[in-house]
Amino acid sequence: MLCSPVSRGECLNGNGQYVRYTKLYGAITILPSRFIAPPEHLITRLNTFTAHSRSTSSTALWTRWTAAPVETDFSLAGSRLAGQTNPHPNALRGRSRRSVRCDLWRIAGARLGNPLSRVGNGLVPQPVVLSIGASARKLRRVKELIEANLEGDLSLKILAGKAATAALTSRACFAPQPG
Amino acid sequence: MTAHSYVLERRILRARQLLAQPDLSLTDIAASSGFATQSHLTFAFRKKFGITPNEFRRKL
Repeated sequence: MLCSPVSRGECLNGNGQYVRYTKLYGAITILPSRFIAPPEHLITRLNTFTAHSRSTSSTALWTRWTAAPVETDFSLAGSRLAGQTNPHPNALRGRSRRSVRCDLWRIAGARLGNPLSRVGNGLVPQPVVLSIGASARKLRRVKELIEANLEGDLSLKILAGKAATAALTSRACFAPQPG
Repeated sequence: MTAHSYVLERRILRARQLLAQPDLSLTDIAASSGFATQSHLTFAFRKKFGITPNEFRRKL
């Protein structure tokens, strides 16, 4: 999946904590998209910090977040690292400095059990790229509503009830449909 | 593409599908597609495809 130069992602860290991050540097990155985010009402933000990297490759940081084992992955997300720079051992190899803004979230609990079990086999969950503006989930819900109620009233007020109003005012939200 | 134009396009495409059924009148198709009137359907359809729904149906 291609993401835009400034994008957001989300993943679970090794402790089962939910992490959202904003990529601040400009680069096109290829990301897998198998991770299913938990419902919004089940997550609460713990803190926010910025992680820095000196990687030469725009994909190196993502690779560490997606391909490494659980116990060594997502080391950025620990609260003891909040405020520190260059926490990745491999991050010192590069020359250019890049930063990632991370929001550490906690999934409200009992209903989900161990979050890692939801993504299978104890492997590192894959981050997914959120669309800029409305989330893909909201837009999909709106499009399903449109398809199901084509003959009915589909005013913006009704559609905005299903997604954020600002999302529906963006022309980029709805891609032209083929034939 | 705005939300309104997306809805309009989906309605036109729905109407085009329904035009393949010869037993449905244009009024019924307009109502089933979410258009308020047949003239609204005709206007939007011609703007999209360059021909009226009747002409489109005759070509099927």
